[in-house]
Amino acid sequence: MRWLLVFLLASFSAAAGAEALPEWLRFAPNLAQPLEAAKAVEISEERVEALESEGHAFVEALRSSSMNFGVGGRLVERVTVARRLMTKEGVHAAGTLRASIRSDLTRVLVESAYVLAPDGRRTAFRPETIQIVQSPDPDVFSDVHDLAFPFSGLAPGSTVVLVLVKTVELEEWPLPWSQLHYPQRGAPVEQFRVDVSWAAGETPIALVANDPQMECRQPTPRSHQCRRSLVPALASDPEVDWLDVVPHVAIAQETRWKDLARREWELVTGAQDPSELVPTVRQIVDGARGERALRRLYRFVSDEIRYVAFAHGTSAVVPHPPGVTLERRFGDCKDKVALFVALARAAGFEAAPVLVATNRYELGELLLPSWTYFNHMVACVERGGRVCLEFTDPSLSFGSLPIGLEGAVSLDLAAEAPSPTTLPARAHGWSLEVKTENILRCDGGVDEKSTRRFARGGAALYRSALRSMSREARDAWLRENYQDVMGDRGSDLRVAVEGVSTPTKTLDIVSQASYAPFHPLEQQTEFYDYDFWLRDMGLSMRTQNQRQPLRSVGLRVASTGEFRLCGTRSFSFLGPELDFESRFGSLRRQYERVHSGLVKVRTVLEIPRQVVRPEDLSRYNRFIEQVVGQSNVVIGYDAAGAPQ
Amino acid sequence: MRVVTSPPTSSSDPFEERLPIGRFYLLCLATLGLWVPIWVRRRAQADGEGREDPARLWLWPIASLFTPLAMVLLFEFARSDREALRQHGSSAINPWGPALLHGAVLLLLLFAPEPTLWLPVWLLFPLPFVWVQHQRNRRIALAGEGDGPVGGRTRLQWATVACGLPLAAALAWWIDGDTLMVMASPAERVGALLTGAAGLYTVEAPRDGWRVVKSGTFGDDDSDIEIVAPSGDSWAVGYVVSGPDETLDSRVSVRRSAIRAEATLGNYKESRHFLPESDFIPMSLALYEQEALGVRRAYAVLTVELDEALIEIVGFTPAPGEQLGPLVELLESLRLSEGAAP
Repeated sequence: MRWLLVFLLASFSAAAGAEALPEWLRFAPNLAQPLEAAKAVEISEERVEALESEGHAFVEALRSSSMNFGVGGRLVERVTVARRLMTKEGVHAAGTLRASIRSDLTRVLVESAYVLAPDGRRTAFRPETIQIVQSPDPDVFSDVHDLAFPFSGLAPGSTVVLVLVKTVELEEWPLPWSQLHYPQRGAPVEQFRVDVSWAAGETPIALVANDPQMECRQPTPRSHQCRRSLVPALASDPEVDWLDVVPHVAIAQETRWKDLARREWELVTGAQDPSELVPTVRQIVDGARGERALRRLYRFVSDEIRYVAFAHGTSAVVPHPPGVTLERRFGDCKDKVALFVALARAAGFEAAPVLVATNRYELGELLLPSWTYFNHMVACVERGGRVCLEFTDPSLSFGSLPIGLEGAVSLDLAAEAPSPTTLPARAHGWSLEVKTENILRCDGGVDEKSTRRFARGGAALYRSALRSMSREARDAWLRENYQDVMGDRGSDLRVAVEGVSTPTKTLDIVSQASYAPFHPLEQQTEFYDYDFWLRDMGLSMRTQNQRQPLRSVGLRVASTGEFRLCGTRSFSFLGPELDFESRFGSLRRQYERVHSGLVKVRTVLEIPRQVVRPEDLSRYNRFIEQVVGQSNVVIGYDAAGAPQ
Repeated sequence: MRVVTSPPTSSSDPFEERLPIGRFYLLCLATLGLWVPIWVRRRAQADGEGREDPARLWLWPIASLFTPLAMVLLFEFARSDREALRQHGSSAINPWGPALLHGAVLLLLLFAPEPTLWLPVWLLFPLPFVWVQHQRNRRIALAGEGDGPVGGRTRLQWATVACGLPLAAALAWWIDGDTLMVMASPAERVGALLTGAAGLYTVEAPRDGWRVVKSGTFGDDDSDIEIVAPSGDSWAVGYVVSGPDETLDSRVSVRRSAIRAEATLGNYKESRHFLPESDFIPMSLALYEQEALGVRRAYAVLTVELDEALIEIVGFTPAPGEQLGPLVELLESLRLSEGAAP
């Protein structure tokens, strides 16, 4: 079925491409026209052998971007990609070249597109085979199109070449133009080139690179040039904030953060007079005052305005007017922020729109003032401290940010002297409290009741996942989740969740189960137990990274266990007090004998938010494994007085 | 016919004959000090000049076995000899001398920094009595205007020495052999690094005088290191064990059960943290302070979980008040040797 669907879609697209190309896309008549810099795509056989021996299946022979900012705000950019496919695997994996285009603002000419065979023959790309795909996200509508060029007749040793000429009318763009170029990719790049020039009288272009091996210079007063050869492939790892760790070249029309923030502030707040929204505000706050009113406004925008992005053309950076969003009852992050800021101002609160770079946490990686670093927007208010509000997840409580957003790079558009800063971040992105009551029955079995309380971002993640399930699926998931951690020995298992429907700061998962005895109580003098949930959460913080730094969001698990003995037995000794401390975190435990038949065990595992350097990754994992391995609870009890 | 070749002695009492002090000393050693009451009885007989004073003949020998009374006897004998020596115009010792020497010897043994051993008691105890006998010999020599006759039981005495000395030495070895071995080991200076046989770790001597002794002295024959305090009664025994079932929890539990089998756990407390200067290697320190019938003692057990092995050092002291601190210092000074850490 899947194959049939793919076939049908491909046929449809091919037909569409052949019969009616979009008006913003054109093909040059001779697509097999060789590159001007044909020499640049040649790679010596020794080099190819070396790359193959390193395990690479293909290599980018050339990636170049040449931009010219012409008179009247017209930007012409020539993008060249030449990819050498060295092996069969390379042909399979990388035989299709792709490009992303914002079609409302850009005209594209495919100047060259061909396959250079190993024997030197050139075969032009067949325009009718181009695939034009829009975002698959059902809630995102935009003019972004992904162009795919499936070259034909490929064999090991072939080189695919694509030259696109993109023309953008900058007059329509409301912000200073900017682009970021990343020389390092999943495959090696033999030649990386960026050229920028601008016409006299146009806004000067700034260019900054943070790649120490990039050679950049300014050949003329109105041009920049950057070159780098033999760029190695990125060392892949599963948990990496790539944008922070990969060097880049930032290009932007010269501006200041202050001017950029002011311009964006105007775009967010200038569309509507807040006083027009006063009746709506009255209706929403319903007589509430102060923070209660603010919370109601937050809940309204978060819950009643569903997430749908209409981001065509300049709407990528310009929010829709609050009235429009209010009427549609949908919007994207900036639409919601613009609406909230307007509602808050109409209610007498100061609320600041704040640009956020969701994948960036290092301020030092922002090389020059540019909006392209940011891809999200939240609002922040002063409530005895800066409280930032995220509107795209109705599972979040007031003042909680998604775990991944805490500490992200941001730009407060309402600040007196705007400059990039980071969003508030708690030391522990994940926060869990576990309370467990254990009754050690006289037959040696255990009755257990535990409550897991997730807070803030963690609670929202669980809430969001559970909300999307049916009641039956939710119950099944809760049981499965319990048994994954606790095993399936328990009987009479009951698991319930509290706090799903209401986005409070916490979410509780309560479970009860009975465990059959291994031995009768009178045959034992020591009781052992795992601190299961602490163990599970702790181990989940390990990383699989081996080469790249890890940004750990932090974890705090506070576990309190009560252990009661049946009958007249009494506890004899308490287990070890734990005080494991390291720069990666700590595990502490204390035992308290409340009376002869009741012991409380308090344990706190803390792994603070941190960046773990590549050379410390294995030590970080070892720390977690060692402390979790020492988290077993042990309590001794006397046989005396045991019921016969 | 009986031929008289020398003048008769002034007294028929055999104690008026000399007893060479070397032989007296050996007799004391060979009889484990039991020669002393015999000597006292004979001396009492001689001093009584034929009078049969039951108190002197029976109580004095018994009294010689008890330190304060023995000091009185030594004083009495020395005073008696001093008078006689003065009468002969010879200088004499202060009669307090032997008594004070006796007290000093005992004090030395009680408070000496080295271990209190049976051996020094055995060797030093006869000295004050030998000294008094030396005075007696001088007195007899002056009375006879020569060295004086040697006692007539020479063969019996030498036979006693010949038989008793090896027996007494064997007994001493049997009682105190381990301690003698301890004495044979060199004493360490404070801070000296001590290494076990496996070379996995070092510990620091917490005070001057701690010694490494051979395996099996206090622990099992397969122990990795055995260390004893200067007092000889506090020690630490290290083991290195490995095996699929050996974990920190299991080892601590096994040791706890073993100590619990000897007596109650008493005041038991365990704490765990990372071994300093290690790569997140967990260690446990368990303290057991026990008290029974007014007698206190303590165990301190350090257990370290390496990836491939466990190190356990069991410390014991019968004097927790003074010795537990240094013992714990010793245990907590454990550091892994280079290459032992994962």
